[in-house]
Amino acid sequence: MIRVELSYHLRNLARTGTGVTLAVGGEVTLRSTLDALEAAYPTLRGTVRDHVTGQRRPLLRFFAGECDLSHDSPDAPLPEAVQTSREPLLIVGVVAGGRVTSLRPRSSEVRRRGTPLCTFCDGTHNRDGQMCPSYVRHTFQAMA
Amino acid sequence: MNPDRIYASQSSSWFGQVIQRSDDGGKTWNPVGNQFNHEGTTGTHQWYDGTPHPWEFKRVWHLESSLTDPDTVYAGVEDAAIFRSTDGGQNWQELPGLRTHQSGFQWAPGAGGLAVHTILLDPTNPDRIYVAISAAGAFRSDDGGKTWKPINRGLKSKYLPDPNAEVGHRVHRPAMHRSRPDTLFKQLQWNVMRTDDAGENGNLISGNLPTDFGFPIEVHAQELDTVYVIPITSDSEYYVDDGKLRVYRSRTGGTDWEVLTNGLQQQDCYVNVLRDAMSVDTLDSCGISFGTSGEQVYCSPDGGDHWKAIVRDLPPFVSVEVQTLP
Repeated sequence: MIRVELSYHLRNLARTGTGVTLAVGGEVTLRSTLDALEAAYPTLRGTVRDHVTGQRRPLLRFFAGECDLSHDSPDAPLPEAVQTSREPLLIVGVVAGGRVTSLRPRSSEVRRRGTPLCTFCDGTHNRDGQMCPSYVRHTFQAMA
Repeated sequence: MNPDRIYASQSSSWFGQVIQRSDDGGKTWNPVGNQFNHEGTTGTHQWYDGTPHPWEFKRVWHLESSLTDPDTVYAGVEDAAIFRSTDGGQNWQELPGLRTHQSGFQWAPGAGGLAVHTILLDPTNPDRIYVAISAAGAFRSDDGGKTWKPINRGLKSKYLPDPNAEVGHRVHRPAMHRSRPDTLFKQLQWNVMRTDDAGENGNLISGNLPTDFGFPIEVHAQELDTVYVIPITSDSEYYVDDGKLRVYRSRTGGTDWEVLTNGLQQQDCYVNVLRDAMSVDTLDSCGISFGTSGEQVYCSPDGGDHWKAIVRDLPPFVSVEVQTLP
Protein backbone atom coordinates (compact mmCIF):
# COMPACT_ATOMS: atom_id res chain seq x y z
CA MET A 1 0.00 0.00 0.00
CA ILE A 2 1.16 3.49 -0.81
CA ARG A 3 0.57 6.41 1.50
CA VAL A 4 -0.22 9.76 -0.08
CA GLU A 5 -0.64 13.02 1.76
CA LEU A 6 -2.71 15.70 0.12
CA SER A 7 -2.74 19.44 0.51
CA TYR A 8 -5.76 21.18 2.02
CA HIS A 9 -7.67 21.91 -1.18
CA LEU A 10 -7.15 18.45 -2.61
CA ARG A 11 -8.35 16.65 0.49
CA ASN A 12 -11.38 18.92 0.60
CA LEU A 13 -12.24 17.93 -2.94
CA ALA A 14 -11.59 14.28 -2.20
CA ARG A 15 -13.51 14.51 1.08
CA THR A 16 -10.77 12.70 2.87
CA GLY A 17 -8.29 13.25 5.65
CA THR A 18 -4.74 14.39 5.24
CA GLY A 19 -3.51 11.00 4.16
CA VAL A 20 -4.92 8.31 1.94
CA THR A 21 -3.71 4.78 1.39
CA LEU A 22 -3.72 3.34 -2.09
CA ALA A 23 -3.23 -0.07 -3.60
CA VAL A 24 -1.04 0.45 -6.63
CA GLY A 25 -0.79 -2.36 -9.11
CA GLY A 26 2.42 -3.19 -10.94
CA GLU A 27 5.46 -1.00 -10.68
CA VAL A 28 5.03 1.82 -8.21
CA THR A 29 5.75 5.03 -10.08
CA LEU A 30 4.38 8.54 -9.92
CA ARG A 31 2.15 7.73 -12.87
CA SER A 32 0.74 4.52 -11.44
CA THR A 33 0.28 6.12 -8.03
CA LEU A 34 -1.55 9.10 -9.48
CA ASP A 35 -3.64 6.76 -11.62
CA ALA A 36 -4.65 4.91 -8.46
CA LEU A 37 -5.32 8.16 -6.64
CA GLU A 38 -7.60 9.45 -9.40
CA ALA A 39 -9.38 6.13 -9.65
CA ALA A 40 -10.10 6.16 -5.94
CA TYR A 41 -10.97 9.86 -5.86
CA PRO A 42 -12.34 10.90 -9.28
CA THR A 43 -12.90 14.48 -8.16
CA LEU A 44 -9.13 14.91 -8.17
CA ARG A 45 -8.93 14.31 -11.92
CA GLY A 46 -7.56 17.39 -13.58
CA THR A 47 -6.42 18.99 -10.34
CA VAL A 48 -3.01 17.33 -9.98
CA ARG A 49 -2.32 16.55 -13.64
CA ASP A 50 -3.65 18.13 -16.78
CA HIS A 51 -6.51 16.10 -18.23
CA VAL A 52 -5.07 16.00 -21.71
CA THR A 53 -1.30 16.09 -21.37
CA GLY A 54 -1.02 14.28 -18.07
CA GLN A 55 1.56 16.85 -17.02
CA ARG A 56 1.91 17.87 -13.38
CA ARG A 57 0.30 21.24 -12.77
CA PRO A 58 3.14 23.77 -12.63
CA LEU A 59 2.39 24.96 -9.12
CA LEU A 60 2.14 21.50 -7.59
CA ARG A 61 5.10 19.55 -6.31
CA PHE A 62 5.73 15.96 -5.37
CA PHE A 63 7.90 15.30 -2.35
CA ALA A 64 8.89 12.14 -0.52
CA GLY A 65 11.39 11.50 2.20
CA GLU A 66 12.76 15.02 2.06
CA CYS A 67 13.39 14.74 -1.65
CA ASP A 68 11.68 16.58 -4.50
CA LEU A 69 10.36 14.18 -7.12
CA SER A 70 8.56 16.84 -9.13
CA HIS A 71 10.97 16.74 -12.03
CA ASP A 72 11.48 13.01 -12.10
CA SER A 73 10.12 10.91 -14.90
CA PRO A 74 6.53 9.88 -14.12
CA ASP A 75 7.59 6.35 -14.96
CA ALA A 76 10.57 6.23 -12.62
CA PRO A 77 10.08 3.93 -9.64
CA LEU A 78 9.18 5.78 -6.48
CA PRO A 79 11.72 5.54 -3.66
CA GLU A 80 11.78 2.32 -1.74
CA ALA A 81 10.65 4.09 1.40
CA VAL A 82 7.45 5.12 -0.37
CA GLN A 83 6.93 1.71 -1.88
CA THR A 84 7.14 0.14 1.56
CA SER A 85 4.88 2.79 3.15
CA ARG A 86 7.69 3.96 5.36
CA GLU A 87 7.29 7.42 3.89
CA PRO A 88 4.27 9.08 2.25
CA LEU A 89 4.25 10.72 -1.14
CA LEU A 90 3.39 14.38 -0.55
CA ILE A 91 1.33 16.31 -3.12
CA VAL A 92 1.55 19.94 -2.19
CA GLY A 93 1.07 23.36 -3.69
CA VAL A 94 4.17 25.46 -4.07
CA VAL A 95 4.65 28.18 -1.53
CA ALA A 96 4.78 31.50 -3.27
CA GLY A 97 7.30 34.05 -2.18
CA GLY A 98 10.89 33.93 -1.09
CA ARG A 99 13.81 33.28 -3.37
CA VAL A 100 13.66 30.25 -5.54
CA THR A 101 17.43 30.32 -5.73
CA SER A 102 17.53 29.58 -2.02
CA LEU A 103 16.49 26.04 -2.91
CA ARG A 104 19.52 25.63 -5.08
CA PRO A 105 22.59 24.94 -3.01
CA ARG A 106 25.87 26.05 -4.37
CA SER A 107 28.21 23.15 -4.75
CA SER A 108 30.60 24.85 -2.38
CA GLU A 109 27.91 24.78 0.29
CA VAL A 110 27.39 21.09 -0.26
CA ARG A 111 31.07 20.47 -0.01
CA ARG A 112 31.41 22.64 3.03
CA ARG A 113 28.60 20.97 4.88
CA GLY A 114 29.64 17.62 3.61
CA THR A 115 26.62 15.96 5.13
CA PRO A 116 24.77 13.12 3.44
CA LEU A 117 21.45 14.88 3.34
CA CYS A 118 19.28 12.65 1.24
CA THR A 119 17.89 9.59 2.92
CA PHE A 120 17.39 7.89 -0.41
CA CYS A 121 20.76 8.17 -2.06
CA ASP A 122 22.49 8.30 1.29
CA GLY A 123 24.44 11.28 0.16
CA THR A 124 26.01 9.48 -2.76
CA HIS A 125 25.74 12.55 -4.91
CA ASN A 126 27.19 14.73 -2.20
CA ARG A 127 30.42 12.89 -2.04
CA ASP A 128 33.12 14.58 -3.98
CA GLY A 129 30.94 17.67 -4.11
CA GLN A 130 28.69 16.37 -6.88
CA MET A 131 25.11 17.50 -7.09
CA CYS A 132 22.20 15.17 -7.56
CA PRO A 133 20.99 15.56 -11.18
CA SER A 134 17.64 16.73 -9.86
CA TYR A 135 18.77 19.92 -8.22
CA VAL A 136 16.67 19.64 -5.11
CA ARG A 137 16.87 15.90 -4.74
CA HIS A 138 18.77 16.56 -1.57
CA THR A 139 17.14 18.49 1.18
CA PHE A 140 18.99 21.11 3.08
CA GLN A 141 17.57 20.68 6.48
CA ALA A 142 21.04 20.26 7.83
CA MET A 143 22.02 23.59 6.35
CA ALA A 144 19.32 25.52 8.15
CA MET B 1 -36.52 25.46 -13.45
CA ASN B 2 -34.94 24.08 -10.30
CA PRO B 3 -34.09 26.98 -7.98
CA ASP B 4 -32.08 24.69 -5.73
CA ARG B 5 -29.55 23.87 -8.43
CA ILE B 6 -26.61 26.25 -8.40
CA TYR B 7 -23.27 26.01 -10.15
CA ALA B 8 -19.97 27.57 -9.12
CA SER B 9 -16.63 27.74 -10.89
CA GLN B 10 -13.40 27.62 -8.92
CA SER B 11 -10.05 27.96 -10.57
CA SER B 12 -6.56 28.48 -9.32
CA SER B 13 -3.06 28.25 -10.65
CA TRP B 14 -2.40 25.45 -8.18
CA PHE B 15 -5.20 23.00 -8.81
CA GLY B 16 -6.70 24.09 -12.12
CA GLN B 17 -10.40 24.16 -12.84
CA VAL B 18 -13.05 22.78 -10.53
CA ILE B 19 -16.81 23.02 -11.07
CA GLN B 20 -19.10 22.42 -8.14
CA ARG B 21 -22.86 21.98 -8.10
CA SER B 22 -25.38 22.34 -5.33
CA ASP B 23 -28.79 20.70 -5.54
CA ASP B 24 -30.06 22.06 -2.26
CA GLY B 25 -29.85 25.78 -2.75
CA GLY B 26 -26.23 26.06 -1.72
CA LYS B 27 -26.26 24.13 1.55
CA THR B 28 -23.98 21.42 0.19
CA TRP B 29 -21.76 21.25 -2.86
CA ASN B 30 -20.23 18.45 -4.89
CA PRO B 31 -17.57 18.60 -7.60
CA VAL B 32 -18.79 17.72 -11.08
CA GLY B 33 -16.91 17.46 -14.36
CA ASN B 34 -13.91 19.65 -14.99
CA GLN B 35 -12.67 18.35 -18.31
CA PHE B 36 -12.92 20.94 -21.08
CA ASN B 37 -11.42 19.52 -24.24
CA HIS B 38 -11.57 21.46 -27.47
CA GLU B 39 -13.24 19.83 -30.45
CA GLY B 40 -10.86 19.17 -33.31
CA THR B 41 -7.65 21.00 -33.88
CA THR B 42 -6.88 24.22 -32.10
CA GLY B 43 -5.35 27.06 -33.98
CA THR B 44 -3.97 30.32 -32.68
CA HIS B 45 -5.30 33.66 -31.56
CA GLN B 46 -3.29 36.82 -31.12
CA TRP B 47 -1.18 37.33 -28.05
CA TYR B 48 -0.91 40.78 -26.45
CA ASP B 49 1.90 41.73 -28.79
CA GLY B 50 0.04 40.55 -31.88
CA THR B 51 1.98 37.32 -32.32
CA PRO B 52 0.11 34.02 -32.80
CA HIS B 53 -0.57 32.16 -29.58
CA PRO B 54 -1.95 28.61 -29.28
CA TRP B 55 -5.49 28.21 -28.06
CA GLU B 56 -5.54 26.66 -24.57
CA PHE B 57 -8.12 25.97 -21.92
CA LYS B 58 -7.36 28.04 -18.84
CA ARG B 59 -10.47 28.49 -16.72
CA VAL B 60 -14.23 28.94 -16.65
CA TRP B 61 -15.40 32.51 -16.35
CA HIS B 62 -19.16 32.14 -16.62
CA LEU B 63 -21.79 29.45 -16.11
CA GLU B 64 -25.29 29.95 -17.49
CA SER B 65 -28.08 27.47 -16.88
CA SER B 66 -30.49 26.66 -19.68
CA LEU B 67 -33.87 28.32 -19.40
CA THR B 68 -35.68 25.16 -20.45
CA ASP B 69 -33.69 22.07 -19.48
CA PRO B 70 -32.58 21.66 -15.85
CA ASP B 71 -29.60 19.50 -16.81
CA THR B 72 -28.22 21.80 -19.49
CA VAL B 73 -25.70 24.44 -18.59
CA TYR B 74 -23.29 26.52 -20.67
CA ALA B 75 -19.76 27.51 -19.72
CA GLY B 76 -17.87 30.48 -21.09
CA VAL B 77 -14.17 29.83 -20.80
CA GLU B 78 -10.71 31.31 -21.28
CA ASP B 79 -9.24 31.04 -23.92
CA ALA B 80 -12.43 32.14 -25.57
CA ALA B 81 -14.71 29.18 -26.18
CA ILE B 82 -18.13 27.97 -25.13
CA PHE B 83 -18.95 24.54 -23.75
CA ARG B 84 -22.25 22.87 -22.96
CA SER B 85 -23.20 20.12 -20.54
CA THR B 86 -26.47 18.26 -20.82
CA ASP B 87 -25.98 16.14 -17.71
CA GLY B 88 -25.77 18.69 -14.96
CA GLY B 89 -22.13 19.52 -15.45
CA GLN B 90 -20.69 16.01 -15.39
CA ASN B 91 -19.50 16.11 -18.99
CA TRP B 92 -18.73 19.09 -21.20
CA GLN B 93 -18.74 19.37 -24.98
CA GLU B 94 -17.43 22.34 -26.85
CA LEU B 95 -19.61 24.25 -29.30
CA PRO B 96 -16.60 24.80 -31.58
CA GLY B 97 -18.23 27.21 -33.97
CA LEU B 98 -17.35 30.12 -31.73
CA ARG B 99 -13.66 29.38 -31.25
CA THR B 100 -13.25 28.48 -34.90
CA HIS B 101 -15.01 31.61 -36.16
CA GLN B 102 -13.18 33.00 -39.17
CA SER B 103 -12.12 36.02 -37.15
CA GLY B 104 -10.77 33.94 -34.25
CA PHE B 105 -7.15 34.24 -35.25
CA GLN B 106 -7.50 38.01 -34.79
CA TRP B 107 -8.86 37.86 -31.25
CA ALA B 108 -6.53 39.12 -28.55
CA PRO B 109 -6.78 38.96 -24.77
CA GLY B 110 -7.84 41.79 -22.55
CA ALA B 111 -5.95 42.50 -19.35
CA GLY B 112 -7.63 39.54 -17.66
CA GLY B 113 -7.26 37.15 -20.55
CA LEU B 114 -9.13 36.12 -23.70
CA ALA B 115 -12.38 34.89 -22.22
CA VAL B 116 -16.04 34.33 -22.89
CA HIS B 117 -17.13 36.21 -19.81
CA THR B 118 -20.86 36.54 -20.42
CA ILE B 119 -23.52 34.27 -21.90
CA LEU B 120 -27.10 35.49 -22.40
CA LEU B 121 -29.84 33.10 -23.46
CA ASP B 122 -32.87 34.44 -25.31
CA PRO B 123 -35.99 33.41 -23.34
CA THR B 124 -38.14 33.64 -26.48
CA ASN B 125 -35.88 31.76 -28.85
CA PRO B 126 -33.96 28.72 -27.60
CA ASP B 127 -31.66 28.87 -30.62
CA ARG B 128 -30.45 32.38 -29.91
CA ILE B 129 -27.40 32.87 -27.67
CA TYR B 130 -25.38 36.00 -27.09
CA VAL B 131 -21.81 35.93 -25.76
CA ALA B 132 -19.27 38.62 -25.00
CA ILE B 133 -15.54 38.05 -25.26
CA SER B 134 -12.73 40.16 -23.91
CA ALA B 135 -11.29 41.43 -26.07
CA ALA B 136 -13.02 40.34 -29.26
CA GLY B 137 -16.50 41.79 -28.75
CA ALA B 138 -20.05 40.44 -28.73
CA PHE B 139 -21.28 37.55 -30.85
CA ARG B 140 -24.69 36.04 -31.54
CA SER B 141 -25.76 32.56 -32.52
CA ASP B 142 -29.18 31.87 -34.05
CA ASP B 143 -28.74 28.13 -34.32
CA GLY B 144 -28.09 27.00 -30.78
CA GLY B 145 -24.38 27.72 -30.83
CA LYS B 146 -23.35 26.08 -34.10
CA THR B 147 -22.45 29.30 -35.90
CA TRP B 148 -21.75 32.79 -34.64
CA LYS B 149 -21.85 36.31 -35.93
CA PRO B 150 -20.04 39.36 -34.53
CA ILE B 151 -22.51 42.01 -33.38
CA ASN B 152 -20.30 45.00 -32.81
CA ARG B 153 -21.59 47.39 -35.44
CA GLY B 154 -21.74 50.93 -34.16
CA LEU B 155 -19.06 50.21 -31.61
CA LYS B 156 -15.92 52.26 -31.89
CA SER B 157 -12.77 51.40 -29.95
CA LYS B 158 -10.11 54.04 -29.87
CA TYR B 159 -6.55 52.81 -30.40
CA LEU B 160 -7.64 50.02 -32.73
CA PRO B 161 -6.05 50.45 -36.16
CA ASP B 162 -9.62 50.39 -37.48
CA PRO B 163 -11.85 51.78 -34.70
CA ASN B 164 -14.90 50.30 -36.44
CA ALA B 165 -13.42 46.83 -36.92
CA GLU B 166 -15.73 43.84 -36.84
CA VAL B 167 -13.88 42.30 -33.89
CA GLY B 168 -11.34 43.40 -31.32
CA HIS B 169 -13.63 45.41 -29.08
CA ARG B 170 -13.87 45.41 -25.34
CA VAL B 171 -17.44 44.63 -24.42
CA HIS B 172 -17.21 44.44 -20.66
CA ARG B 173 -20.77 43.32 -20.10
CA PRO B 174 -24.01 43.01 -22.05
CA ALA B 175 -27.44 42.93 -20.37
CA MET B 176 -30.99 42.46 -21.54
CA HIS B 177 -34.50 42.29 -20.22
CA ARG B 178 -36.08 38.87 -20.53
CA SER B 179 -39.17 40.24 -22.22
CA ARG B 180 -37.22 42.24 -24.84
CA PRO B 181 -34.29 40.09 -25.87
CA ASP B 182 -33.54 42.01 -29.07
CA THR B 183 -32.47 44.99 -27.01
CA LEU B 184 -29.01 44.72 -25.52
CA PHE B 185 -27.32 47.27 -23.32
CA LYS B 186 -23.53 46.99 -23.31
CA GLN B 187 -21.03 48.46 -20.92
CA LEU B 188 -17.94 48.83 -23.03
CA GLN B 189 -14.39 49.55 -22.02
CA TRP B 190 -15.12 53.03 -23.23
CA ASN B 191 -18.78 54.11 -23.27
CA VAL B 192 -22.17 52.45 -22.96
CA MET B 193 -24.05 51.24 -26.00
CA ARG B 194 -27.54 50.09 -26.92
CA THR B 195 -28.83 47.91 -29.73
CA ASP B 196 -32.50 47.25 -30.51
CA ASP B 197 -32.10 44.74 -33.30
CA ALA B 198 -30.18 41.92 -31.65
CA GLY B 199 -26.88 43.59 -32.32
CA GLU B 200 -27.20 44.45 -35.99
CA ASN B 201 -26.81 48.15 -35.22
CA GLY B 202 -26.01 50.14 -32.12
CA ASN B 203 -25.85 53.59 -30.63
CA LEU B 204 -23.75 55.07 -27.87
CA ILE B 205 -25.83 56.07 -24.86
CA SER B 206 -23.16 57.27 -22.44
CA GLY B 207 -24.76 60.69 -22.28
CA ASN B 208 -23.91 62.49 -19.05
CA LEU B 209 -22.03 59.66 -17.31
CA PRO B 210 -19.01 61.03 -15.43
CA THR B 211 -16.49 58.64 -17.00
CA ASP B 212 -16.48 56.35 -19.99
CA PHE B 213 -15.18 53.26 -18.18
CA GLY B 214 -16.93 50.60 -16.14
CA PHE B 215 -17.74 46.93 -15.87
CA PRO B 216 -21.28 45.97 -14.74
CA ILE B 217 -24.58 46.87 -16.33
CA GLU B 218 -28.06 45.67 -15.43
CA VAL B 219 -31.65 46.21 -16.56
CA HIS B 220 -34.52 46.78 -14.14
CA ALA B 221 -36.69 43.69 -13.74
CA GLN B 222 -39.97 45.51 -14.47
CA GLU B 223 -39.00 48.65 -16.37
CA LEU B 224 -37.54 47.81 -19.75
CA ASP B 225 -35.77 51.13 -20.23
CA THR B 226 -34.31 51.46 -16.75
CA VAL B 227 -30.62 50.63 -16.79
CA TYR B 228 -27.90 50.71 -14.13
CA VAL B 229 -24.14 51.18 -14.44
CA ILE B 230 -21.31 51.91 -12.01
CA PRO B 231 -18.65 53.97 -13.77
CA ILE B 232 -15.09 53.85 -12.50
CA THR B 233 -12.32 56.33 -13.04
CA SER B 234 -10.42 55.08 -16.07
CA ASP B 235 -8.87 52.11 -17.80
CA SER B 236 -5.89 52.30 -15.50
CA GLU B 237 -7.59 53.46 -12.30
CA TYR B 238 -9.95 50.69 -11.26
CA TYR B 239 -11.88 52.51 -8.57
CA VAL B 240 -14.94 54.73 -8.48
CA ASP B 241 -14.52 58.32 -9.52
CA ASP B 242 -13.62 61.00 -6.99
CA GLY B 243 -13.72 58.58 -4.05
CA LYS B 244 -17.53 58.38 -4.25
CA LEU B 245 -19.46 55.16 -4.69
CA ARG B 246 -22.19 56.09 -7.15
CA VAL B 247 -24.64 54.04 -9.17
CA TYR B 248 -26.06 55.66 -12.26
CA ARG B 249 -29.60 54.94 -13.43
CA SER B 250 -31.21 55.82 -16.69
CA ARG B 251 -34.99 55.59 -16.93
CA THR B 252 -34.94 56.45 -20.60
CA GLY B 253 -32.92 53.59 -21.98
CA GLY B 254 -29.67 55.51 -21.76
CA THR B 255 -28.20 58.94 -22.49
CA ASP B 256 -29.91 60.62 -19.52
CA TRP B 257 -28.43 59.28 -16.30
CA GLU B 258 -29.24 60.17 -12.69
CA VAL B 259 -26.82 59.57 -9.87
CA LEU B 260 -27.86 57.33 -6.96
CA THR B 261 -25.98 57.84 -3.70
CA ASN B 262 -28.42 57.38 -0.82
CA GLY B 263 -26.69 54.97 1.55
CA LEU B 264 -23.51 54.68 -0.51
CA GLN B 265 -20.18 55.94 0.76
CA GLN B 266 -19.47 59.39 -0.63
CA GLN B 267 -15.95 60.07 0.48
CA ASP B 268 -12.63 58.24 0.55
CA CYS B 269 -14.06 55.23 -1.24
CA TYR B 270 -11.79 53.56 -3.76
CA VAL B 271 -13.47 50.30 -4.68
CA ASN B 272 -14.31 48.67 -7.98
CA VAL B 273 -17.32 46.61 -9.04
CA LEU B 274 -16.52 43.83 -11.49
CA ARG B 275 -18.62 42.84 -14.48
CA ASP B 276 -20.40 39.90 -12.88
CA ALA B 277 -20.89 41.55 -9.50
CA MET B 278 -24.23 43.32 -9.99
CA SER B 279 -27.58 41.61 -10.17
CA VAL B 280 -31.29 42.40 -9.95
CA ASP B 281 -34.14 40.42 -8.44
CA THR B 282 -37.55 40.02 -10.04
CA LEU B 283 -39.72 41.53 -7.34
CA ASP B 284 -42.07 44.35 -8.34
CA SER B 285 -39.91 46.92 -6.63
CA CYS B 286 -36.78 45.41 -8.25
CA GLY B 287 -34.05 44.97 -5.73
CA ILE B 288 -30.56 45.51 -7.04
CA SER B 289 -27.34 44.34 -5.42
CA PHE B 290 -23.66 44.68 -6.16
CA GLY B 291 -20.44 43.47 -4.54
CA THR B 292 -17.25 45.48 -4.42
CA SER B 293 -13.56 44.87 -4.42
CA GLY B 294 -13.75 46.36 -0.93
CA GLU B 295 -15.56 43.31 0.39
CA GLN B 296 -19.08 44.67 0.81
CA VAL B 297 -22.38 43.83 -0.86
CA TYR B 298 -24.75 46.75 -1.18
CA CYS B 299 -28.43 46.19 -1.79
CA SER B 300 -31.22 48.54 -2.76
CA PRO B 301 -34.70 47.09 -2.30
CA ASP B 302 -36.33 49.88 -4.29
CA GLY B 303 -34.61 50.02 -7.63
CA GLY B 304 -31.68 52.12 -6.49
CA ASP B 305 -33.30 54.88 -4.43
CA HIS B 306 -31.92 53.65 -1.11
CA TRP B 307 -28.87 51.48 -0.48
CA LYS B 308 -27.50 49.56 2.46
CA ALA B 309 -24.41 47.42 2.94
CA ILE B 310 -25.90 44.02 3.72
CA VAL B 311 -22.66 42.02 3.69
CA ARG B 312 -19.19 43.09 4.67
CA ASP B 313 -15.76 41.71 5.51
CA LEU B 314 -15.70 39.00 2.89
CA PRO B 315 -13.07 38.63 0.18
CA PRO B 316 -13.35 40.91 -2.86
CA PHE B 317 -16.41 40.06 -4.93
CA VAL B 318 -16.07 38.63 -8.40
CA SER B 319 -19.72 37.66 -8.84
CA VAL B 320 -23.03 38.46 -7.21
CA GLU B 321 -26.11 36.50 -8.24
CA VAL B 322 -29.56 37.14 -6.85
CA GLN B 323 -32.24 34.48 -6.69
CA THR B 324 -35.88 35.41 -6.20
CA LEU B 325 -37.64 32.59 -4.40
CA PRO B 326 -41.42 32.14 -4.46
